Amino acid sequence: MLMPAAVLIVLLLGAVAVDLTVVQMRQRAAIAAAAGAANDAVTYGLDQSALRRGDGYRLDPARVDHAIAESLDAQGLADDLAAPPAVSEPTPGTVTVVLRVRVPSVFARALPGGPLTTTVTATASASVDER
Amino acid sequence: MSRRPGARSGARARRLDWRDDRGQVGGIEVLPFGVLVFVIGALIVTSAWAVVDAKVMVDAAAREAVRAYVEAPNQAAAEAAAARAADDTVAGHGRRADHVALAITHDGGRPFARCVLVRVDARYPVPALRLPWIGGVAGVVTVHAHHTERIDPFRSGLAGTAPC
Repeated sequence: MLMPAAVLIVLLLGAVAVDLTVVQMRQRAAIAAAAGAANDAVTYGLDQSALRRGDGYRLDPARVDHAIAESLDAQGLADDLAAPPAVSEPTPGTVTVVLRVRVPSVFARALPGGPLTTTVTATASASVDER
Repeated sequence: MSRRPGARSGARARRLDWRDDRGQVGGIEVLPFGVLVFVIGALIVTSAWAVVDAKVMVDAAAREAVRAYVEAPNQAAAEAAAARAADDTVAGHGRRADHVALAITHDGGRPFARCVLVRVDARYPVPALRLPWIGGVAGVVTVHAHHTERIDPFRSGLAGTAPC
């Protein structure tokens, strides 16, 4: 009687471990993707006409959005986003990207009432170094 | 108080009969199977963790490789820098650097230049099952990760103008 219960407990703990591992791996990938997107945005997003006018380094919001969208698409994350990327410029020359990514459950979805997906948040910033 | 004659000497004379099943617990034969399930379960968990560990490592290798690549001044230097960065990352994780394989592709097949999106795919083989003193058995699982970044359009040290 005890042995089947013990095996069941081990299987359940293994399933929980697998699900949590998948979530953690996906969050790491999302953080890396956010860092890449922020890095692309802070360089590609430069407003060239403002720079040539002598207004210094400024970001063009349209170019920033384009760079982030292209980067996330290239990294295969665009379809997994739970919400559009939140982009902010906390200080001049710095771009912060916040991603909310859906992670599908592997085993938890088999349980009654178990979550189909888990949403993870990844934040990364990049700043330009003017020389 | 009476004492049965020969009782003590009879107990002493009794020998252990291994064919006798008196005292046997019902269902005891499934215990080895239960232990086997736990042993196999432990092996599966260990193997799965090795793959997870390799995934973390190869993910970092791809990221570092593409960072080194996009910061290099030309194609040859970029390839060398990417390979070096990946090797250093793999070695830093305590794995064999000569086992990691990198594939570098440019968006649209364009040459190394400003604005080009670069994708680095890193692959690392992991034994499906690794046993103590024996090593890897039962095939190989190839762990894969990729990372993409753009060659900086406006940085110094690169020839040409930014077309983007």
